[in-house]
Amino acid sequence: MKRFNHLQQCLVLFGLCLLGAIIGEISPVSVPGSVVGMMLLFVCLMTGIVKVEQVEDVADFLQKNMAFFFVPMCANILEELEILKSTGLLLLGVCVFCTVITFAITGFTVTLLQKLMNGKEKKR
Amino acid sequence: MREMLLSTPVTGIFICLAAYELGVQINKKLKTPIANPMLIGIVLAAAVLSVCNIPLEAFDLGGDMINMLLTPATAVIGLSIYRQRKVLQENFLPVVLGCLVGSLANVALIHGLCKLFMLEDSLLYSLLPRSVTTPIAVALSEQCGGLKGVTAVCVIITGVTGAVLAPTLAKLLHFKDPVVIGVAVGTSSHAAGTTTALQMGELEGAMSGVSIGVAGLLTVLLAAVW
Repeated sequence: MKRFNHLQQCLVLFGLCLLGAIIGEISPVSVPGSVVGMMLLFVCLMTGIVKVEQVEDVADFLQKNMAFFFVPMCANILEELEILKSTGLLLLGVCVFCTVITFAITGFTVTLLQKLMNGKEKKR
Repeated sequence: MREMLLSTPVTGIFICLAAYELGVQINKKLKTPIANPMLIGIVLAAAVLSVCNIPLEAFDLGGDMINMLLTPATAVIGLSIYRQRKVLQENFLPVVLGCLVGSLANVALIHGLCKLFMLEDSLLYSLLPRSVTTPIAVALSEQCGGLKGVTAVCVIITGVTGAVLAPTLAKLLHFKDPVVIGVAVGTSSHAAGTTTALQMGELEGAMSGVSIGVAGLLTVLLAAVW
């Protein structure tokens, strides 16, 4: 399989994002285009419509630097923090607290289920 | 001079790049996940805006260009999921059920806390969708009668919390399995948290990516019945 150059890889990825945005727009529940794009890319790779070599370089670049792409949006919001005013600290506390608890509950659930399923397989 | 600097997108892009790079260097020096490069970058960039009195509209000229890249960056998680498809297949049920229980617990917890602190309903609806990725959260919040701005802020706080605390929490709770860590990160703190999961390993990142999608869809469904 011939490797695509960077622009060709961008063409594939942005094409999928565009398709994702269109599907997200016409679907009855609100799903963001980026998430639909993620599913589309996965499906395309599974079915072989898109080969790994056709997106790999640009995809890895984007993924490795994803944290950076969040900087402007978050900095923006930090500047606008005044809209929170008096309830700001309370909201901050609730957000942090709930994130930690959700993290723990989700993790324990997955651990428990993995153990249950492994146990079943061993019995067989 | 100032006029020229404020009218070109290069200024905003430069501020973000410089702030993030400083964050990376500080993170390397301190060697602790709490000193998250993204968090340091955000705070530094915001500080520069305040100190130099740069209006948000000027900053956004460049900021929006970087922001735009979040869409393809989220989409390419599909490649990680594809590379880790075997692990996903083996752990399909734990992953999906983990997302479901996590999302449910999250919604119930927020509901309880809001009632406890007697927050207004509009705040409750702004907070409920905060664990999912921004576009879903904002749309949901509007749909239920929440405040868009508050939701966006809470989504970011949640994401940054997850990104900063995930490695420490995983250690404290003795989560060693990459699948467990990935799902926990993705369900609790969406794509911003996933950036940390990706740094912990590709498997963690891929599972986190799957969880963004699954938890997002489940939250949409939950909101419909709530």
